[in-house]
Amino acid sequence: MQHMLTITRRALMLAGAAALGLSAAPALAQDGWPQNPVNIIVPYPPGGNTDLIARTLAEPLSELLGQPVVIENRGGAGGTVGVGEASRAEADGYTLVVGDIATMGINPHVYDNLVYEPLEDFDPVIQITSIPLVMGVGPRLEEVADLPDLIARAKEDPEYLDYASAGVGTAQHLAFELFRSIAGIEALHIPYQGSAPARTALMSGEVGVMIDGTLVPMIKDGTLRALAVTSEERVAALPDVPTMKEQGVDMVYTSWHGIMAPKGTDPEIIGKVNGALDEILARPEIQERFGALNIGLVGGSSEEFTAFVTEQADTLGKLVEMSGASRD
Amino acid sequence: MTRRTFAPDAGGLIAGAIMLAIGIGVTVTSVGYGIGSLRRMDTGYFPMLLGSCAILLGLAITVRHGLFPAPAEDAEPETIDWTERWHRLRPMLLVPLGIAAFAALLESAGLLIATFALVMISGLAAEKPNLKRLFMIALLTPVGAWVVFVLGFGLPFKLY
Amino acid sequence: MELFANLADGASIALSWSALFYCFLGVTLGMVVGVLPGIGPLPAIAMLLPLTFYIEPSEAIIMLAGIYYGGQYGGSTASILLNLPGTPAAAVTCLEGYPMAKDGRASVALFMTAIASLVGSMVGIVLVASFAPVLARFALEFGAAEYFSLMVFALFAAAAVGGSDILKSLSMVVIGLILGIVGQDVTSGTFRFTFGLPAIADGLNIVAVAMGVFGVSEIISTIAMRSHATTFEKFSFSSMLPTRQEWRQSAPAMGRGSAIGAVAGILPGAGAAMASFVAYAVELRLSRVPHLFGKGRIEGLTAPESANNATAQAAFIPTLTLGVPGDAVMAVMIGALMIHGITPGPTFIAENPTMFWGLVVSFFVGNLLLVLLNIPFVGIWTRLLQVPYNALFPIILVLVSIGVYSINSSVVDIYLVLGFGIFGLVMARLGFPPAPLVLAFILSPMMEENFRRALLLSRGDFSTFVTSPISAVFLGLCLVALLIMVFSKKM
Repeated sequence: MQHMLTITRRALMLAGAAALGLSAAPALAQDGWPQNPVNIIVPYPPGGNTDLIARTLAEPLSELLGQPVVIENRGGAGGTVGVGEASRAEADGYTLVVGDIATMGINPHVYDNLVYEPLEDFDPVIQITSIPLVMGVGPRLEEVADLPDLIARAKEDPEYLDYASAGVGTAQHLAFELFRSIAGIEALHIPYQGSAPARTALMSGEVGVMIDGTLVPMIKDGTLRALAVTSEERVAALPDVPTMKEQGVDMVYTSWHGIMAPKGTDPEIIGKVNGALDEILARPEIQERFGALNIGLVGGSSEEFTAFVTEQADTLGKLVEMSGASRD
Repeated sequence: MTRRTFAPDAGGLIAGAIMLAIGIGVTVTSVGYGIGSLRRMDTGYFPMLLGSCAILLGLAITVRHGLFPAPAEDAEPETIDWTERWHRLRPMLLVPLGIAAFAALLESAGLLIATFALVMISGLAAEKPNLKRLFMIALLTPVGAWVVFVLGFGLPFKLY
Repeated sequence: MELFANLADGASIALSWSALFYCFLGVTLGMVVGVLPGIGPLPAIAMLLPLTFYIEPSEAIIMLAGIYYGGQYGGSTASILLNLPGTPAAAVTCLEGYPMAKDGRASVALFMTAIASLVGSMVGIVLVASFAPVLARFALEFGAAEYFSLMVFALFAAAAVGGSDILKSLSMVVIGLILGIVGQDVTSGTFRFTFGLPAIADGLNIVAVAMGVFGVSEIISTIAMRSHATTFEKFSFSSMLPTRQEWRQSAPAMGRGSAIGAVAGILPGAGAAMASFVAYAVELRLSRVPHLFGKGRIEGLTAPESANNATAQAAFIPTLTLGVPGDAVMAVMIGALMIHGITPGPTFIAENPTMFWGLVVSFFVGNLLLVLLNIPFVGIWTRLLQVPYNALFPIILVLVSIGVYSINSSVVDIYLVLGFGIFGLVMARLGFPPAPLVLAFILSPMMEENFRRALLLSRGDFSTFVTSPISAVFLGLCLVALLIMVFSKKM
């Protein structure tokens, strides 16, 4: 017990080991990893998308690994606290972290003194999701017919548009800045504290437009209207909504999540986690569950994920520079 | 807590001075963060407003107590002997000291010792500490804390 | 009646043996963690969250909801007995509850708190049951300017709570606002007033602030002034019952408190604390004996208690229909729903009628359970006061220290409680009331955010605060409140 307690000391201790009634066996030789429960750090508070993804995968993963998988929420400072903690954890395979576009792609370009470097401190294990974002408009922009119309109106009147985001330097903020620069329009950024309040402001008409991944239920019930999706192809949840590209805006932008391990983790362990998750992600019931939430599942090898993260670092760096969203 | 050593309304003037000091400190610091414009406020704008409010309140309190000193509530200053003075001072020293000891020991010596120290030190603040009883409480409280917080709620404490 | 059909439908879910069991589990744990000051509901959620993956989603949410509102019942106990507010709302409970306990009326205070909580909850539930969709639309009327003005109004209420010296009350409001902005600025990411300490980069811990200025400073001055309860009441069932006079004072207060709380619940965020302060201020204003407040007036206890429980129930409206969580517990609840493939949103009720109505019925059941659970405890808690204070206070300090530490596992928070204890003592000595500081502290970040956003949206035009009717009404009320405060009493 003592061993477990020190590992999770600073944690919020959700899904606490005590609740599962585990007894931590003393760490034996590494021959059959895992011998102990595996901790996955979620660098956000419980209840968000990242937490949801981790928790959904934890149960089947623990079945395949034969050891409990404990989700540990370590929120704070835009995810940097939890990821920083993971970067300092021992690379023994017992601490993994859920990385996402913000912590592993955007933050290094936004924060000057970040306590970690994504690819220097972590070995990518597997990409889990690819989430297409949706551009939605609320009652405030009722007169807008479609995306080209929106762009035309914004060009005519530079004060026409204000857009909501989940905060400065978030994936949603950068997505809109990318759109703004490609379309060549002006728009005033109104930051909120997370997707939920931003979405509410969109629904009430406080702001006009927003690019976000959580709008699908409100679009389906007619509270909001979708102008475009940011993925390469149309998404299953909203088959009638055209992509940005179809409407003449050459923009593809998706948010993503993936599992990372502290640098220097045994490749065999990484292979084992990758194999297990790849199998889980292919299961129809898991596909269905995430599909309903407009979350696409990816999978693949750890090499593919490494290449993806490397490419994203470059693309997002340019975007951050363009948006001017840097912090200290 | 000790005998009143200043004029009846000196407290009001001290209160005003505290607010003025807070207000000036906050305002000056905020300006350093950058004020920005009304249309695009910077980090320091809101704190600067608060600092200004504090200055105004500080001035108002000072002026009011300077111009209209409150009537002396009880002209008789309390006469307090040294024993009583020591009695009133003791908790002000020992309670904070006990909490500080707990904080210092918790992550090094662990929950059990830190709790013991907090009970023992702060317990001496009582008027006539019953040392034997205090020692018993100091021994039992860590056990209770362990049962409730570690066993019961599964909070992650280092025990010893 | 459609409502009754719906409720019958919900009853079929909520009254099953397993749902009753999970409801019981949730409210009991919620109450227990509520009683322990500072621990907060997260450890209880941590214990039960793994369960929620295996049980029916409607039972999972019934259980999590139970933790949430169960905590509201428990929270008042430590405030009344020991002047230890575990939540900002409970700081108001201290104002009249603790003097009553010192006066030997702890059992009446605890009993009436349970009743007031029940009344408040029931009003909140009825509101949820009858008007959820309408209220959700009302919540959408609140934009940045409206939120800002509402919070300014709540702060005036907090200043009124502070007592007759309006300048000193307002000073504490301003100090609370300043303390509230310590930490990282959400808009720019700049660290403000953190003095390079990473431990406070995310802001000061509200529980450390509240327990410092209320609990620790009270303990020190109680020892020094020998002012602990000396009248040891003998507990009996009848000693718990209030007098006819107290019933008469409490009944309308509970009604007003419930109404205020129910409205506040529709606004996600600091609803419970705002409602408690406003309810107390209203009682103070309506009372013919305002000078007796702070010395154990029963209506000053029951009105805020009804208010915060009504808020706890009504807060489910924004959570379920807008998907906006008011606090950490609500966020976990949304997560638990989504894991089962259910998304909160405007269509939540229409798409999951049995779950929604099952939840509503479980609120009734849970609140009745809570009262039944609470009343037998009144005797036990009251006996706690018969323990000699010299033996009791070191244990209270242990509870405070552990509770504060457990929130962020941060030793700095323990030093904060100590620092705010001394600060509270000095300020109390100089005649500054502690209560307004607590509300101002929690509202501060939200006020700044909405202030900046309102002016961003209006392109820097201050008239945005008066052109919106809702905002103008709140600011008008502030003006009235200020005038009353300045002219009604001796300055």
